[in-house]
Amino acid sequence: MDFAIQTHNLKKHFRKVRALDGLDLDVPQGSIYALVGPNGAGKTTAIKVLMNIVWPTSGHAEVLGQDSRRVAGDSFRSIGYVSENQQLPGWMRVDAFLAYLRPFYPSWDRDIENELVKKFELPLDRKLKALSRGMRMKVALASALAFRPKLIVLDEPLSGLDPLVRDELIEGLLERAAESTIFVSSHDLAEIETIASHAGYLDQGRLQFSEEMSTLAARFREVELAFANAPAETAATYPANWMQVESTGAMVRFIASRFDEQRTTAEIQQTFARVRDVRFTPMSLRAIFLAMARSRRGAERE
Amino acid sequence: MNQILHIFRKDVRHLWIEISGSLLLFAIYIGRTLWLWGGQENPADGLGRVVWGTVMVLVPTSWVLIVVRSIHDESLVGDRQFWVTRPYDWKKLAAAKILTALLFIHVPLFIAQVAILERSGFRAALHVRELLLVQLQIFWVLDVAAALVAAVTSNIVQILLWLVGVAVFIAGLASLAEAVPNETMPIPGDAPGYLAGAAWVALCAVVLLIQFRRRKVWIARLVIFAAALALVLVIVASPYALLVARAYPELPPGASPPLILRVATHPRAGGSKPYEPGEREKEVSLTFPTSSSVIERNTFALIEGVRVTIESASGETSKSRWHPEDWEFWPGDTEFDVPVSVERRFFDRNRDAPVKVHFSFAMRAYRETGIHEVIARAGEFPVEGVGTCWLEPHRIRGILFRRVDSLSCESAFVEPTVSGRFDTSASTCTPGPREDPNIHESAHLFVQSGSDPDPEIIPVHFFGLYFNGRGIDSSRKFPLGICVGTPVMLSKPKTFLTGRIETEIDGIKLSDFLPRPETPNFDAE
Repeated sequence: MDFAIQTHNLKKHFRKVRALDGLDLDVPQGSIYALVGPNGAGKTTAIKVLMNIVWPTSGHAEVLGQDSRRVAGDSFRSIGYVSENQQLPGWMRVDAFLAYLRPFYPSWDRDIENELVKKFELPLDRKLKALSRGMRMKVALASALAFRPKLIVLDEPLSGLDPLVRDELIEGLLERAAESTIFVSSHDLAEIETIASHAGYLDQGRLQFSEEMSTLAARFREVELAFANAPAETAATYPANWMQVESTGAMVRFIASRFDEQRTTAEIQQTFARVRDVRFTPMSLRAIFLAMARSRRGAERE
Repeated sequence: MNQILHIFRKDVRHLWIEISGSLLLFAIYIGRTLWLWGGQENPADGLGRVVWGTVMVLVPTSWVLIVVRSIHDESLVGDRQFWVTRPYDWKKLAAAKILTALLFIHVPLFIAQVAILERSGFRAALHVRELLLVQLQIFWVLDVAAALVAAVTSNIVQILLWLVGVAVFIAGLASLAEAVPNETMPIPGDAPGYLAGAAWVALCAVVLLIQFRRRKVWIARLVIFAAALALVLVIVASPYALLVARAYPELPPGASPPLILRVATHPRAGGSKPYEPGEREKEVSLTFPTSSSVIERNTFALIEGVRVTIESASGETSKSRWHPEDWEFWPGDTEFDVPVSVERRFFDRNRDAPVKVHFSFAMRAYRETGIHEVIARAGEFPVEGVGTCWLEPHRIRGILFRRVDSLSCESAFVEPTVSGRFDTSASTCTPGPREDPNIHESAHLFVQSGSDPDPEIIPVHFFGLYFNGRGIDSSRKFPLGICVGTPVMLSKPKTFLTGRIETEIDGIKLSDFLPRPETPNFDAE
């Protein structure tokens, strides 16, 4: 399999803070990869390292087959990068900004540009500094999509935007998804879930999991056990893949992180003797993310 | 090249107000200068002078602003700028900024300098080297300095803070230089100076390279701080005494010096009491009457520094720093005083005891070459090796003085190094009521300047060739001056000997050499 992004044991330390602590990441070409994780997990740092905005402390990263430390100049003719924190030249009008960027990209497509301008309803005659945050993100995205990049890197592109703008951005992005790899970090799990083909969960600078959305969705289940009488049974130990085991009245709930109906059923039977009813509920990416985060916090407290 | 022009065009669109303002200020400055040179009376009153002075300051300031704003357009500080993740080639980005500076600072300056030279009667084609040298100097001193600060800052407030820091540093450095023994003594082939110049070029190159290529602002700032520290170390740790000794080697024994100096062993004659040092004075000034004679014709000498060592009978020693001086000596005998400062405590302990005083004089001897006669003419006239000169009667308190002992001149880029003589007996002036044609003296001239131009906007220098004689004599009359038809001799001085004259006097009492208000009585050794 070809990868658009690969990292191996990537570390980035800011004095004593380990922003990235041995990140191993493989982003398949053609995928829409969602990098999720709590605040301070290292998502933005990972992207900055990939974009050669900062250098890693150690380890190795490759972007489109090129060492991340050499990503510069012409490399960005194949990479479209949009970040919520990016400073655009506020004195420029939208049309001047797009016109300014055009000659930098031999592959700039005026049709795509016009299409995006129309789709995003960009006010061409207004200065960038006079635009709302959402509109600025649209301009940034339009300018990053119009040259048909092989890789689109988006750092928290949807945070703080109203739902309408988010939908428009996602729609615009999806239209280009066929010809690009999209690597996106986001807190906005609900929207990401609808578009991502792969997801990686980053926490404390380490990748906790990274897999296709379909297998991820299949792997996690919310499990609800009903007992004949309250209180429900408890056990001294639970299988390692059970997370957040809770007992309420005659019910026990947990999240199975390696769900397989037969295997999980067998584990339940081995752990509890008096289970009357079992219910498996598929989980959203958001629910999985929250479960992972809570589980980690719980483990830290212990 | 396309990317360079593309970025350049963007900068011009963004900075058109700054660029237009700068060009306007420059045009006003040059236009007014040429207008005044056209013989117009300067109408500037108090307020006008302030406005004019402001324009003069604003021209280079506007240049700095163009450089700074142009670099800040793609700020090299921070990681959020859009351009960082766009296909910018850092070399082309830097080239676009240089192009902006060239087109809006250097090309106008070049055109203006050529126009000024031609207007003043100098052929610009003969001064291409100086024209380019001035451009290069302004590039390094102004453009690159501004680029250096702009490269490690992201806004004007940060720039101002840096400038305050630089001003404080320079002030501190100046104070430090004053405190470092012998630092103020100019050294021919000034090694610390060259070292500092080379370090400046290296610093700018390294910092700009780091920032344009990698944008590692903390490393760039560290390099600047390290360079500042290195500069302090160069000033503090340079072996100035050694450098002076090497620049002015002791004359070999038996060699006949071009200048003989004799320090008198007796103080001034006369009954008046010497000036006693005040109680609070930490240093005591002494004056040692000295006579000199330049042996050879068509030579003269310059004492560029003096160092004095006083040794008491008990072996206690007081050694002064090298003091820079600028004393000229021409053929014939001259009398002068060597001023010496002695630490108060040393003086008090040894004031009436016999001491030995050793004098080291840093001397440079010149030979006049290409001696030629110049006859002063009416109006402007060309003077070989100088430029264009004229006689300029001057007014003092509203009275027109026809007598002049100088030629007013202008030259392109640098004032010439020239020496000369004017024999007042050859004057063609009609004696005025305060002038006596029977007073004859030989007045001398020595003007020394560097060979390279300074980084200045106006390429034409105005200066006076002053022939220094005794001036007014005891009868309160002046000798005749230079008028139309008066010959003066000019020459190109060339150094033929640089060295140290060592001489000492022994068994003298320091208290005898406290300054007195009388003429010294020389007693040759």
